[in-house]
Amino acid sequence: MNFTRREALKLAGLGISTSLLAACGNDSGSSGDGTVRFEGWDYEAKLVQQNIDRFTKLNADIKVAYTPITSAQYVQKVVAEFTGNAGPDALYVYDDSLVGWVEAGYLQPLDGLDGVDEVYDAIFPSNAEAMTYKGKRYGLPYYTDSQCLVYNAEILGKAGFTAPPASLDELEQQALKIKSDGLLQYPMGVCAQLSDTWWSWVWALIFSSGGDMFDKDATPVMKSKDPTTKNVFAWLQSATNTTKILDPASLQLLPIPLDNAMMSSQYAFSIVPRYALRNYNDPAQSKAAGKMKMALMPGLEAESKGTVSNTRMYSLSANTEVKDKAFTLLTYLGGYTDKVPYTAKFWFMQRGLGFTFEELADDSEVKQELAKFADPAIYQQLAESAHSRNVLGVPWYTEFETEMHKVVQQVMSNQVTPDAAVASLDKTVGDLKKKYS
Amino acid sequence: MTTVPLRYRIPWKKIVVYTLAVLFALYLVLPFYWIVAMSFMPEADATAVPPQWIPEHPTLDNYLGFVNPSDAQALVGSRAVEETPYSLLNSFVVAGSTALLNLVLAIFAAYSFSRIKFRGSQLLLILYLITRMVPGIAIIIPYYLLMREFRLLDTYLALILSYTTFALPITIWILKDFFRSVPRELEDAARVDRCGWFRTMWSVFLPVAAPGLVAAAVFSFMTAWNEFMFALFLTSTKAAKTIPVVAANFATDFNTQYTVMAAAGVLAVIPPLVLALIFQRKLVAGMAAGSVKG
Amino acid sequence: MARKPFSDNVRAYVLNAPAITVIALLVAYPIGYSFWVSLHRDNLKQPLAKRFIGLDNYFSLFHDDAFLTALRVSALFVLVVLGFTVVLAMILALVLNETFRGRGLLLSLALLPWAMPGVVNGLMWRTIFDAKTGALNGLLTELGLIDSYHAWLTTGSGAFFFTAMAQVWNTLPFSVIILLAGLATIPSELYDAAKVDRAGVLQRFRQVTLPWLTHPLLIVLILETMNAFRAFDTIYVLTGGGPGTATTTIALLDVQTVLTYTDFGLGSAYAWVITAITLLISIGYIGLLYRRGNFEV
Repeated sequence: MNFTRREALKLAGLGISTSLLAACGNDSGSSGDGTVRFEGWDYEAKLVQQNIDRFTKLNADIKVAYTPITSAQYVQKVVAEFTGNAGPDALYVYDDSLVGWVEAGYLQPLDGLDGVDEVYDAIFPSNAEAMTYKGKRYGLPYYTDSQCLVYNAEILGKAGFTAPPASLDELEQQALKIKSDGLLQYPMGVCAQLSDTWWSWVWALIFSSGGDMFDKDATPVMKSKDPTTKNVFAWLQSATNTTKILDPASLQLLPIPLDNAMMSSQYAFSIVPRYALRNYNDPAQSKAAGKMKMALMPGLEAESKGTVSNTRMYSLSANTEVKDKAFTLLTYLGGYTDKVPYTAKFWFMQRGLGFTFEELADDSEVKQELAKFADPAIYQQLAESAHSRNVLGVPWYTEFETEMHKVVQQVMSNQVTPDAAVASLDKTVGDLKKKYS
Repeated sequence: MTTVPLRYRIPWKKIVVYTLAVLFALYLVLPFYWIVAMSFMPEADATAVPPQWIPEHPTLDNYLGFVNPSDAQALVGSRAVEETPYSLLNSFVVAGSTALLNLVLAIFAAYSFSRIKFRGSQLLLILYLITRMVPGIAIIIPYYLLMREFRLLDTYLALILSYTTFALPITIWILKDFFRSVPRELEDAARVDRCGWFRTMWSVFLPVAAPGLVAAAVFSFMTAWNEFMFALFLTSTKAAKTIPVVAANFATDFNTQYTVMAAAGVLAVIPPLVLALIFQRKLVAGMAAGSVKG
Repeated sequence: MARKPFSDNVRAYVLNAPAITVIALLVAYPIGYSFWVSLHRDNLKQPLAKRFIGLDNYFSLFHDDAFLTALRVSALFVLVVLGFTVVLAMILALVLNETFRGRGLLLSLALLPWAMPGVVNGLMWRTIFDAKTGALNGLLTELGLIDSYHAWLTTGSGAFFFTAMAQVWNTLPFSVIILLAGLATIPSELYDAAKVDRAGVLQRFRQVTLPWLTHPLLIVLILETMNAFRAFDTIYVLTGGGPGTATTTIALLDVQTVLTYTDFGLGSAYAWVITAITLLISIGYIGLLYRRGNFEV
C-alpha cells in the first residue's frame, strides 16, 4: 500500500477542483445591470408582482427584480443582507424597525427628492410622523391601519345584545352571557402566539383605556406613573383564568388561524386591524360574511379613549447604485402617479388596506368599497382616535416588543402577577437602555 | 424451566415482543398518518370535530394545487404552494450532491483512521467533532458573508458546501469504524496482484464497504434534507429554496390552509423515506460495524 | 504510542487533506470569527459602537436572567429528550433484534420520522396538538379519557412536555439504527452461555447486552445531546418558545439574540457556552463509559 506520486497528484487535483467549484458562483447578487432590487414581506406577493409589472410597462427603461420574503423572517433576513452588504435597493419597512435601520445606516433620507413634500403634505400627520426620524423623512407610505374591536352581530343578537360593548367591563358581561347561553365556550380570541410580528392588540387595549407604557421621552411609566398597563394585564389574566371568556388557545393562535376562526363564527369578539373586516365580510371567503361588525376599541373606562395605528412604508437603501430608478419605483408605489395615489388606492380596493392619503376618504370608489365591509362612520372615528406608539423612536424597540410578548403570555397563562409583569417590563427597558447607551 | 411440560408454556416472550411491536408501530405511524389523511381532505373536513380518521370526502385537490396553483388554489393564492415543487427538486439536488461530496471526502479521511496509526489521530477525530458542536447560529452570519464573497448566495453550491461541512465529521466517524471491520487481507491480496492504491480501493475495498457507505450517504442526505436555518438565509428565490424553508412559510403565510400544508408535509417526507427504505438493510449493516468496539 | 515512520504520518494527513481543507475553508473561518466576535460589543444595528470588550460578554452571563432561564429550560429539555429517546430507542431496537412477523415493516416505520424535516415535524405536531381541531384531543375524547378539548400547549409545563415529545419522535430513528446495529453484532453464543447460567432477562441485558452496546450508546448519547442542545426547528414552529419562556431553550434564545435583537457579540458568547457545555458532557460520557481506559477512537 504505497502512495505513488500519481496518486498524490490525484488527491491534490481533487482539492483544486473543489476550490474551483467554489469559484464559479452566480453573479445575481450584484446589481451591475441597473436592475432595481426590491424586497418586501410576502403579503399578497402576486398582487405586488402584478402592480410592479404595470410599473415596468409604464417605465420601459427600468427593470425591477422583486423578491418577497416570508413575513415571519423578514426583519432578520433584511438585517443579514445589509450586514453582508447585499441589501436591496428599495424595500418595505415597518415603522417598528425604522429607527433601528436608520441608526444602522441601511436607509437614506428622501428629503428634497421630487414629490416627497407633496406626499407628506397629503397624508395624515400621524403617518408622516411615523416615517420621520430626527427631522428627516425616510419613507413613502405603503399603508396604515388602526386596531378595532370586531364582533359577530349574529351571536351577540342571540344573546340579546343589539350594540357592541363600549368598555371592557361591558365586553366581559356580554361574553359571560354568550357563555352562559351556551353559544360559545370562549367568546373571545386574540393572536398571542410568539412570532416576530407585533402584538397590536395589547397596545390597542392600553390606548383605548387612555394609558401608555411610555411617556413621550420613551421613559417607561407602566410600573410607576401609569397603572393602565397593569390593569389591562389584570383584566387579561382574569379573562383567561377566572371568567374564562378569553380562549386560552389564543396562546397558540397566529393571525391566519384567528381569521379562519372569526370567519367560521368560532369567536364573537376579537381585536384586529380594520382591513381584516374586508375578508371577514367577503362572502367568497367567509361564512360569517355580513355579520361581522367593526366597533371602537373598548377600554377599562366607560368610553373608548382611542386605539393604536401603525404605518408601513417603502424606503430607499443607503447604498443603492440605482437611486433614481429606485426612487421612481418608490414614487409609483408610495406617491402620486398622474395626480392620484395609485398604489395606495389599489391596495384599498383590492384588500382593504388602510390609506394614508386624506383625499382618498372622499373618493367615490373608495367610499363604495368601504361600505361593503364596514360602517364608514366607525371607520373614520377609529382613524381619528388612533395614534402610533411614541416609543418607536428608540433603537431597541424590537427587543422590547419581543419581551413584552413573553410577559403577556406569562400573564395570560397565570405564571406571573400583573405587578410582577410590569416590573419585569420596566427592568427590561432599563437593561435595554443600558445596552444601547 | 425445561421441567415444565411444553403444552403448558405460555409464550411470554412472543406476547411481549408482538405487543411492543404493535405499540411502537402505532406510535411511529399515527402522527404521520394524521397528516396523510388530512392531505386528502377538503379544508372543512380537516378541522371537523370530532376528527375524521378516514377522509369522508377524499380529494386530490391539495396535491393538484401544487401542479396548477392558479386552478384549485385560486382562493389560497399562496406563494408557498407555488414554490413547493421547485423546493422539492432543490432539496433533492442539494441533498443528493451533499451525500456524494461527503462520501468522497470522508472515504479518504476515514480510511486513514482505520488503517494508519498516526500522530494526532485522536485529536484530529475530536477536532472534527468539535466543529459540529458549535451551534449553527454562531457561524451563520460569517458564513453568509463568506458565501456573499464567493457570490454563491441563492445557489445550490452554497447549501451543498455548508451541509457537507455539517455532515462530514459524523460521516467520518461512521465510516472509520466500518472500514476497520473490513479485513486487511483483502487489500493485501489485491496488492499481491500489483493493483495501485486507487484501484484497490475502487475495486476491492469499497465494494466490501458498501453498507457503511450507504449508511454514511443516507445520514448526510438526511442532514441536508432536514436543515432549515442556513437554507433560510442562504437562499431567497425558488432557484435554491429548499423544502424546510417553504414549509416554514406555510406556518406563517397569510393564506394557507391546513390541508395544503399537510400535503406539502407529506411530499417533503416521501423522497428521503423512499431512499431510506431502498437501502434499509444496508443501512443497519452499515451502522453495525461502527458499533463492534466494546 | 511508539514512534511511527514519518511516511505514515504524512500519508494519513494527505488522506485527511481534502476533508480538512473543506472544513478549514468553510467553517474554520466562521467558527474563529464567531469567537472573535464574542469578545466584542457588536450589535449589527450599531456598527459604529462596535468595540473589543474582552470577556465581558461572558461575565455578563452570570446575571443574565434570560440566559439563565433558557439554560435551565435547555438542561431539562436535554434530560427529558435524551431520557425518552434512549429508553424508547433501546426497547425498540431490542424488539427489532428479535425475529417476528412484520419485523421488516416495523423497521421501515422506524425510519419514517428520520425523513421528516424538523420544520415539518413542528407543523405536524401543531395540527395534532391543536386546541380546537387537534387529533390528540379527538383521540382522547373518543377514548373517553378527557371530557372536552384541551389547549395542550398553553400551560408552561404542557408546552414543555409536548414539545419534548415532538422532538423525541423526530430524533428516535437515528438512535434506533445505531443501537440495532450494535445489537446485531453481539455473538449469540454469549446469550446461550448466559442462559446456561440461568440468568434472567434483566440480568442478561445487564451482563451481556449493555457491555456490548457501550460504543453505540456513546455515539447515541453524544449525538443526541448535541441535537437536543441545538434543537430549534421543531420548537420554533410549535411554540416559538412560549408560553412565556417555558420552551425558550438556549438555542432559541441564541437565534433570537443574534437575528431579532441583532446582538451578534452576546449571541456568539451564548453559542460558545453551548459548545463548551456540549464538549464537557461528551467528555463526561467518554469517561463514564470507558472507565477502564480502553477508549479507542
